[in-house]
Amino acid sequence: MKRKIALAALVLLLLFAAGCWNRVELEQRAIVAGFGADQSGEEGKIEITVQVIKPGEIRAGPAARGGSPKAVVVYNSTGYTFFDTLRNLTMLLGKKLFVSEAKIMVVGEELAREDIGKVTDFYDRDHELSTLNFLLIAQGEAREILETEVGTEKIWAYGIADMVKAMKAHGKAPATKVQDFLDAVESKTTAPVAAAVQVVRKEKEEGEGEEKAGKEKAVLPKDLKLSGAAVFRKYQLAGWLDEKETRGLLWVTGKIKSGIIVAPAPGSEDKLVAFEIIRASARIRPEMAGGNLTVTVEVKEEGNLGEVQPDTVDITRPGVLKELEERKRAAIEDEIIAAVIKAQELNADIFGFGEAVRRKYPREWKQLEDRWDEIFPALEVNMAVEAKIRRTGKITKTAEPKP
Amino acid sequence: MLEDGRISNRQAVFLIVSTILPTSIIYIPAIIYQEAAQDSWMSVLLVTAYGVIVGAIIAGLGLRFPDRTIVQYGELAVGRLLGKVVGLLYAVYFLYINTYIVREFAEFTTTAFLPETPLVVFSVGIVLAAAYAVRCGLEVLARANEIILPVVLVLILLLVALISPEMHIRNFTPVLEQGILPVLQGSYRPVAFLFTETIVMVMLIPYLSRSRQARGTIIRGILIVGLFQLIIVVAAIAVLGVRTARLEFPFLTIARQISIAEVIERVEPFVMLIWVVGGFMEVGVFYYCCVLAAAQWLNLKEYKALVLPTGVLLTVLSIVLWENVLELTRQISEILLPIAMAMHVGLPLLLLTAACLRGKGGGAR
Amino acid sequence: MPRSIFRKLLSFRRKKKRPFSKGVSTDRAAKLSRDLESNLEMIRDALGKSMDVVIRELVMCRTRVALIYIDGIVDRTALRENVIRALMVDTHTVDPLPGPGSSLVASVKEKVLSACGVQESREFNTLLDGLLGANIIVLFDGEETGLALKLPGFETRAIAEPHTESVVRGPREGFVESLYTNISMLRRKIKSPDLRLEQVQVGKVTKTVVCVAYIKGIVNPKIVDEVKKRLVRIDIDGVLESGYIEQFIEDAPFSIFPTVGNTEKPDKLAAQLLEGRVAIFTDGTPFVLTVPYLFMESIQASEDYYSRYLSGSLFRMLRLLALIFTTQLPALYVAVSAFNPEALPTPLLLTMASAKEGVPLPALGEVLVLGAIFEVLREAGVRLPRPVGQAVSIVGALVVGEAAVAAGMVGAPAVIVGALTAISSFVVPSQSDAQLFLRLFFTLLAGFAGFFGLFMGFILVLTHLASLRSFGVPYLSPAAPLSTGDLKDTFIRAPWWTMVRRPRVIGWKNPRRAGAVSPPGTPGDEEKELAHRYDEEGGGSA
Repeated sequence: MKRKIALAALVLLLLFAAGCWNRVELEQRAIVAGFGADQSGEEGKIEITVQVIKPGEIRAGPAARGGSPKAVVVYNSTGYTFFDTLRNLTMLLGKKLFVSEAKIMVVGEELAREDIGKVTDFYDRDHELSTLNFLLIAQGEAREILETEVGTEKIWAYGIADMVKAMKAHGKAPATKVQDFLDAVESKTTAPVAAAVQVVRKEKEEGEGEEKAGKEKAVLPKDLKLSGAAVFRKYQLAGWLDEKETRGLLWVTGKIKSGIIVAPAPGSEDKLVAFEIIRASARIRPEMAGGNLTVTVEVKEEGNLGEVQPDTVDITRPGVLKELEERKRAAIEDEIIAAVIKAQELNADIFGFGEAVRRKYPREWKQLEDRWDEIFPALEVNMAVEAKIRRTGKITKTAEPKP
Repeated sequence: MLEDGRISNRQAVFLIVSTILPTSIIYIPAIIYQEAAQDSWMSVLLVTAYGVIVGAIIAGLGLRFPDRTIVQYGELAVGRLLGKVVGLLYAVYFLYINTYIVREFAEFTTTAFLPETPLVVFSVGIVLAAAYAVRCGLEVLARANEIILPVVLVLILLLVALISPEMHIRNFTPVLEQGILPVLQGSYRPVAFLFTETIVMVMLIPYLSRSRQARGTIIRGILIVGLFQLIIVVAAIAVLGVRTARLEFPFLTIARQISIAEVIERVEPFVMLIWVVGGFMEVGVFYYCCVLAAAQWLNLKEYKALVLPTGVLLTVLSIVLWENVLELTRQISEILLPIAMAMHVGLPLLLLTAACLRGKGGGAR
Repeated sequence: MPRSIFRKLLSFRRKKKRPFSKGVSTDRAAKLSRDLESNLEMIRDALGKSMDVVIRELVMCRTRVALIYIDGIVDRTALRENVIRALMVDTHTVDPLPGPGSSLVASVKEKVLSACGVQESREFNTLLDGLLGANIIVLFDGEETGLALKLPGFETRAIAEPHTESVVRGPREGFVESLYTNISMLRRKIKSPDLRLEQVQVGKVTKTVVCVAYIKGIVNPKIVDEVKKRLVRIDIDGVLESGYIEQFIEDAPFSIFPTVGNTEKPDKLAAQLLEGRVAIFTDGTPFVLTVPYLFMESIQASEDYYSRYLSGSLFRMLRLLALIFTTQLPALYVAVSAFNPEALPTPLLLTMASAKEGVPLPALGEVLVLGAIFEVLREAGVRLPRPVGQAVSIVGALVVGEAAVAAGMVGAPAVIVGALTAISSFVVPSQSDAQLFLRLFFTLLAGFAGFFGLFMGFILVLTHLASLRSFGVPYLSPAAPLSTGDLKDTFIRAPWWTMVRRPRVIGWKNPRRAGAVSPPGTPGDEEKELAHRYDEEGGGSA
C-alpha cells in the first residue's frame, strides 16, 4: 500500500512538473486573426503584420451603442524569417502569439514577386498554424490591407475571410487556401493562383477635420476590394488575372458555384439580360491524336434567367429561350477564352492541363513533362460548353407600357 | 501457472488489432506513399496478404504446443540449451522493440501536440500506465481493450466520414504509373512492422479460452487491421494526394483538414485520443509479453516482481538509446527492420521446421 | 480460482471461523432453576436497574408467575388481553393444569396463551436474548422452563415514498427501518417458494439481525455462499446501518467505485433478485444491499423498465452522457482553455477569451474553486432543514452565479461549466462519490498536461475499472468482457419481449425468464377477425 501511495505521488509530481511547459492561459495569448507579409526595406528581411484580436472589445457591442468599431490591433515587425519575425512580435506584445485562429495570409506584391516560399514552409511545418488559411496577394502592400477597416466585421481579418468565401456568389476571385497553393506548387506543371486584393481609396471631399462627419455617413475612407487573381510560376508571382479571366479560370477548374452572367439581349443589343448560375461542372479532357495534343474543356452550366431589361424580348415566344441559352453559352466561352489566352501569355498552366494529361496518358507524359513549358503556350484548347436555362423567375413578361 | 487468467478469442482479436492498428495509422500512409504513390492501396493489400501468411506461421507454431508459450516450448522444439537461448532472445526482443514504441510514442506526442514538454514525461507516463495494467494481468488488459478498441475504431471511421467531402477520386489516377515495382517497395517497410507484430501471439496463445482456434483468431485480427489500414491509406490518397509523401503524420493532417461548417474544426484531440490509448495498448501488450517471457525463463512463480524493474529499464532505454528523431527513424529501417524480420518470421519458421522434423509437439491436430 | 483481490482482502481479516449465530453474555451456559426468585435475581443481575425493564408478578391457579418484558418494544394491548388476562381470568374457565405426562409450562402454552410465537426454553441466555428482542418472558414458580412470547409492538415509521429513488411511474412504497416489514414487502412481490431468506446475526453488542435473500434456482449458489462467508467474518460491536456491512464485504475497499449496490425500493429489489442477485437486509435501515453490483447498474433506473423501451433507452443514454459530463466537463474546460484553445470553434473561443479577460485565476483554479463552493453548498443544503436549505441555495446562486462573475473573480464560462457539472452529478446518484473523485482526478490531470493528461487519466481509470470484480463478476461486464446478449439491457433498454434471457454474467442458472419471442403487436386470428368486423361495421354506418 505504501508503495502504491508513493507511486501515485510520483505520478502526480511528474504531471505537476509537466504542467510548466505547455500551459498558456487563454488571457495570456494574443489571438491572431490574420497575417500580412511584405518585403522589408532592410536587406534580406521580411516584414510581418499581424492583426491581434482584443477579446474584450467584441463584447462591447456595436459601434452605434458606444462600442468601438474594431476589436483588433495591428502590429508589425521585421525579421529574417517568418518564425523569427513572429517571435520578434512578442517583444511588442508581451504575450505569446496564438496563431491557430488566424484565417488569412496576405502577401504583398513585392514579396510575392521575389519568393512567396519564405512564408509557406512555416505554415506547413508548424503545429498550430493551419494551412486552411486563405492566401491573398495584395496589389500593393500587405500591411496596408491589414490596416484597412472592414465595415462588416469587428475583426477585420475575419471580414476579409468572409469576402473570400463570398466568391461563391460572384466567382470573380479564387478562394485559394495555403494548402491549395502548396499542392499546385508540388505538381510539376500546374501554376498556383491566389486571390488578389487591393485597397480602394475614396475621393476625400471634406477636409481632415471632418472625417468624423464622414463616418456618420457610414462611408469608410477606404475599402478593400477582392477581385481577380495572382498567377504564380512556382513560388514567384508572374502576373495578374482580371475579373473576367478569373471567372474563365474558375469555369475550367469547376470552382464556379454561383454568380451572374450578363449578356446582350437578343433583339436590342444595347439592352442586357442577366442569368444566375445555379450549378456548374467542368471536365478537362486531353486528347492525343498522332502525337498532337489537344485539350477540350467541357463545361456544363444550369441556371435561371434573373433579369431582362425592358423593351427587349418576349421570353414566352418559342425559340427565344434557345437563343438566350446560346448567348449565355457564348458569354461563358468568352470568359474561358480570355483566361486561356492570358495563361498562355504568362506561360502558366493555371488550369492543371498538364496534370490532366498525366492522368490520362501516363506513358506519353514522361516525354511531354519536360517540354511542357514549350507545349503549353501553343496548346490547342477546344471548348464544349453547355448552358441551360431552367426557370425564368416570378414573371413571364417584363412590365411594359401598353402600345 | 504464472498467469491464471484466460482471455476469449474475441478479446485476442481485439488485442491484435489494438496492438497494431491505432499507432501505425498515424504515420504508415506516408511511409507507403513515399514509394508507391497513388497505388499505395495496392501495397496495403499486399502487406495484408503477407500478414496473413506470417499469422499462419505463428499460429502453426503455437498450435503444435497449444498450452505453452514460446519460452516454454522452445526447449521442446530445439533442445534444452538452444531453447533457453530462444527464450532469452524473445524476452530481450520484446523489451527492445518496446523501447522503440515508447520512444516513437513520446516523439509523436511532443512533435504534434506538446512541443515544449520534455520527452521523458511522455515516456514515464505511458510506461507507468502500462505497468499498472500489466500488474493487473492479461485479463484486465484484454478487458480494458474491449472498451478502448471500439471507441478507437468508431473514431477513425468518424474522422474519415467527416473528411469525405474533401476527397478527390482523381488523386488515384494514373494507376500503376511507374509499374508494379513501387508497389512492392511500398510494402516492404510496413511488412516488417505491421502485421508481424502478431508475434505477441506466441506468448498469448496458451491463454486463449479456445486456443485450438488460434489460427482463425490471428487471421481475423490481421484482416481487420488490413481493412482499417486500407481505409486510412485510401483516405490519405484521396484527401492529401501527393502531399502525403512529405508529411510525418498524414492522419493528423487529415484530421486537421476537417472543417464542417466552421464548427467542427481542429479535431486533433481525437487523434491524440486514438494515439494515446492505442499507444498504451501497444506498449502494454509488449510489456506484458516481455515480463511474462522473462518470468518463465527464470522459472519464477509470480511475474509481478519483474514489472517495475522492466518498466524502469524500458523508460531509461527509450530515452538514452537515441539522440534525436532522425536517428530513431534511421535505426528503425537499418537495425530494427532486419531484426524484426528475423524474430517475427525467421525464428518462428526455424522453430516450426525443427519441431516438425523432430516430431515434437502433438498439439497440431 | 480465488482472485488476488479476494486474497488481499482476506489478509486484513481474522481467519478465525465463528459459529453462524452468536450471542454475548456473561454466563453462557446458565440454566433456569426451579426457584422463581433466583431466576428473577439472575435477570435483574443481567439487566441491571434499567428503567424500562418491567417484572410483573401474578398468581395463576395458585402458581406464582412472573412476566418480564421491556416496556416500549412489546405490544401492550396484546400483553394485557392475551397474556395477563388469559393467565389471571381465563384460567378460571380453562383448566391450565397439565394432564398426565405433560408439564405445566407446556399446558399453559397450549391452552392459555394466545400469542403467535411461543418458544419454550431452559437456557437463560436464550430467554434473555428473547427479552431484548421484544419477547415477553413468562416464568413459573417451580418450573425449570420458561416461555418467550413474541409480541413486538414498537413504534415504526409508516411506509412512505423513499427520498432517494423517487419515480414518476412505478410503485411508491419504500423500505422502512423494520426488517420484518421490509421482508414482508418483498414477499408480497415474489410469491415463490424459491424465495429464500436466511438470517444472520451481526454485531456483538447490537445483535443486529441481517437477512440474506435470494431466489433459489436463479441465483448462483457460489455467490450466496460467498456472501454468507463474508457476513460471518464480520467482527464488530455494532451494525447500525447497511453501510457497515457494505464496507466489510466489498471487494475493492481501496477503490473509489462501489462494488455493492443498495436500494430502498421493494420493486427494484425484486427485479434484482429475479436477475439472480443476492440481497442483504439489515434491521434498522431502509437500505438493502444487493450483490453483485456492476458498473452498468449505475445508469439503470427502475423507471426504465416501467416506461416504454424507446424512452427508457433514451434516458439510459442521457444518464451516460450526464456521467461523462459531470466527470469530464471541468477537465475539458481546463484542457481547452489552457492548452488547446484551437479545438473550439472561433466564435466560442473569442467569447471565452473575452469572458476570461481580467479574471485573476487560471482555468484550473476557477474550476477547482467553483467545484469546492458547489460541494459546500450541496452539503449545507442536504443537512439543513428544508426551508433553510432553500435559503442556502438562493444565497449560493446569487453569490456564485452573479456576484463572482460581476466582480470578475471567475469567468462566466467557468460558472456555466460548474453549473452543468453540478446538475449532471445528480443524474447518476449511485456513483456520486466516484464522480467527485473522478472529476477532481481528471481536472488535475488536465490542468497539468492538457488533453494528454486527460487521456492518460482515461486509461488509468479504465484499467482500474477493468480490474474490479464484484463477488467474482467483472465490474464492467457485460461491456468488458463482452457479452453481446446482455448488452440488451445496458446502454439501451431493449423491449421486454426481446429480453428472453436473464443476464448471463450474474445468474447463470435457469437462464430463460420469458417465453414469448414474438412482438406483442402480432395479432392472433381471433383478433384479426375482430378487426375486420370492426372495419365492416364502421363502413356500414358511414
